[in-house]
Amino acid sequence: MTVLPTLPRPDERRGASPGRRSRRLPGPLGRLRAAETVAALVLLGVVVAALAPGLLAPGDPLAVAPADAFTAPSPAHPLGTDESGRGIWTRIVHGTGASLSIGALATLLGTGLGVLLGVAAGFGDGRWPGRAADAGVSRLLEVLFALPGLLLALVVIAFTGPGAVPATLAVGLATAPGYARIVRSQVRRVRRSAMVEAAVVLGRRPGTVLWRHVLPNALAPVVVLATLGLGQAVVWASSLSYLGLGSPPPAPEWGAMLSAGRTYVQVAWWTTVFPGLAVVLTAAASTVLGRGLARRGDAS
Amino acid sequence: MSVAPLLEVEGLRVAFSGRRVVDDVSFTVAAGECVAVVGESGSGKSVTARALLGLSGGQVDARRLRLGGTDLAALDERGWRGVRGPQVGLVLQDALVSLDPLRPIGREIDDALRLHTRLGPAARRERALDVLAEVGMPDPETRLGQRSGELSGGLRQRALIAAALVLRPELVVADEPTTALDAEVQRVVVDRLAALRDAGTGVLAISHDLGVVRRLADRVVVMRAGVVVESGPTEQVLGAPRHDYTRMLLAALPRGVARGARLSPRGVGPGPVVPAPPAAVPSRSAHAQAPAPAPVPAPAPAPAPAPAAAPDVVLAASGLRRVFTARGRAAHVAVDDVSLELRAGETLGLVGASGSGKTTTARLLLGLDDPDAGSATLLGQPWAPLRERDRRGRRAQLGAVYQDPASSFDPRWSVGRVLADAVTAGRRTRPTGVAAEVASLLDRVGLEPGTADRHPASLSGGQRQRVAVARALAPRPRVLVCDEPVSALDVSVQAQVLDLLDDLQREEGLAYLFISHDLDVVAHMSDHVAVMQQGRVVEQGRTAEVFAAPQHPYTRALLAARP
Repeated sequence: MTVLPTLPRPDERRGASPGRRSRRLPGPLGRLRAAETVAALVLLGVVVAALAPGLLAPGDPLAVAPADAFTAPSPAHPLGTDESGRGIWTRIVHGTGASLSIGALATLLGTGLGVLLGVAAGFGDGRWPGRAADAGVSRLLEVLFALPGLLLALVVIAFTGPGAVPATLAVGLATAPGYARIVRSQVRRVRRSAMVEAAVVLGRRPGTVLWRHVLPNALAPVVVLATLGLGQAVVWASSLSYLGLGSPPPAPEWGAMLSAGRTYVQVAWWTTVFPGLAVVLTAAASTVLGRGLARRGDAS
Repeated sequence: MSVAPLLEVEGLRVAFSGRRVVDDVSFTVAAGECVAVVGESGSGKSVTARALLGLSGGQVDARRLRLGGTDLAALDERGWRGVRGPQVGLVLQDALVSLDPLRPIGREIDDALRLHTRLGPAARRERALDVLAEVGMPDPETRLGQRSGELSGGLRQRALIAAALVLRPELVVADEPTTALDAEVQRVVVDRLAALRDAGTGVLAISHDLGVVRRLADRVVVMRAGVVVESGPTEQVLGAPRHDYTRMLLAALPRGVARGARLSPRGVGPGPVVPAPPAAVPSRSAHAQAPAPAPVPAPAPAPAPAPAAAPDVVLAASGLRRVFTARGRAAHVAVDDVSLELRAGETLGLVGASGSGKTTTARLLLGLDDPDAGSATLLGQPWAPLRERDRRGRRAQLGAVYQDPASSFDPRWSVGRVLADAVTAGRRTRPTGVAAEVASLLDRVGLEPGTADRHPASLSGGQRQRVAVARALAPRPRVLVCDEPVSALDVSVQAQVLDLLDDLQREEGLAYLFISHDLDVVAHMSDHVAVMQQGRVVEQGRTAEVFAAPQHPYTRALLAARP
């Protein structure tokens, strides 16, 4: 996840008004608020864990050691061990890739689908083809909105059967309607702007207008929203695994670890608390960063 | 004025985070007197007005700031609340956003009475009705229960004035009370303020419109960059201005300036520097297409290098009609049987009140909307109705300049990219010479070559409109549709843009469809004029003839309403 490069244009006159002063760090991170810096560091750690888990946790997440089962957190096992004596820390770190990639790919799928639907619905000019597309897509979205997102994901899984790939698909499809709505309204806003009118008067084709003016100006809020949505997607992906519908055990995945640990929550709290914390931290960090981006987007 | 002045301002300074925007401003307003503060955007006139109500939001200090017996400089927030309303009333610009859309106007007026008087509900209602009748609100009983969305711009402005007046303040501060109003409504609002002044209230009017100021004010304070540059009785300041800036402002007024004569002091582009023409004497006589007045040293050549024969018709509309239908509402005929002819190298002015169908007509002619009946031709070829696909190839012949250029640029693009896109007709490949073409466009509209690297958002309103003109010129059009191209600009900037359009027309033989609600601007710019009312063209003819001898009652009313 490369979140930092999508920060808004550096030429913003930030800090111009005295009322908006807040704690900022010196140096290149000075433009971030303290909370955003912490969030960025957490996400950086998460990304490192996903790309090179061996760096943070050299052990084998699948190696069973029955003698060590249910060890409380200790220097050897910083976060304790589970029922098979596998280190929770090792499994969390090695599970990051699975949890995060499901979340990220699902978000990508959701936004991609959302953009397609949103543009189809919003780009028309109120005449025949555009109008029909808008009516069709909008009704479809309304039907999808009637179902809670996670329920929608469960419906998808009911068709495909459990697994990591179906979970990704399910979460992606379940988040798409929300993105589609936003994209539709953004596209309509830009489509009706004087800037697009000026391009039409200059004789630009609809495709050129869409590609050069509408998409770049309509999608900025969607990028921000996707950062916010990433956290949610990670939670949903873990929820599906928790229900046994995502990555199958014994693969280390946060939701699956939570699910396995819930039997022992009375005797070994660390088997559930730490995987849960991983989900919460990742989701919270990406939400904080997303809000920061949104705030900047509004300011510009 | 022998009596002690009602309002005394001496050495007023206002600063925002250390930056001083109002510096050492002094003036007085007596009871029954109207003082106008004039100046352009950024002159500090609105901040000055707000400082008198404790609303400036900056650091205010003054040697003397007294209203009646109250020392305003010593007031705390609680004290200010006692002054605002009973002692000073504020009439804001832009009644559309100054009234709460969810509250009936009766409530707005009632609020002031409830806060500051001990009247009972029946008495308050009586007072509210009185004050509405006083400001000329038709049918006050009904209006009391209506919300701002249900009222026209003029009625909204009257409601605002009523809310400011209901407590009978000694001083009324009116910040641009007539901006964005049609001429007829403007006149009513000015009359109300004048009546108020005659009834003994002090009026401080903030305006950039010298026409309004001339009709309303007893004395004038001219501000520029936070400083008073000139002040005195209205006849003296506007009749025989002493300061260059005042002279420049007056010279920039298009009223009575012959077609083709310059309005702005400096020539745009490589042309010779032309000194300002003398202050235009306000005259109600015909704006004949006579040569420029004698004192102008470099009289402009005749508008078009006209051949004797009538030039070709480049853009023609015949029987255009556009009806908007909304579910559950009566169909609204925005444009009804409009026929126009625009000839090469000439300007056709389109005037009318807001809602008269000017902009819809422009959109039909630009091919942004399709007529329900009638047709248009461009350079003799069918133009509307036509499929966009068939129209696109000929779009280069027709350009457009809008009222708000800022929103017509992609906010992510620099000026250079905007122009390069227009020059290359949107192709990505950049043939050599594009940079030179962009530079030449910038030069033609009087902008520095360095402007190419800037973003439109960082330019001033006038510069932005120049960029918009440059973009419209890039495809080498024959016709430009200019929809209110100067109505968002200060008068001196307006003068420069009008001069620029004039120069370009002469150099390139462009034809303009020039839309404006400002009769003086249209009279100055147009060879022919068409007057629109409720979607119809009620009168059409040579500008000089229409302005000198209007045939239609509506045209006469429009002309009479000019400030």
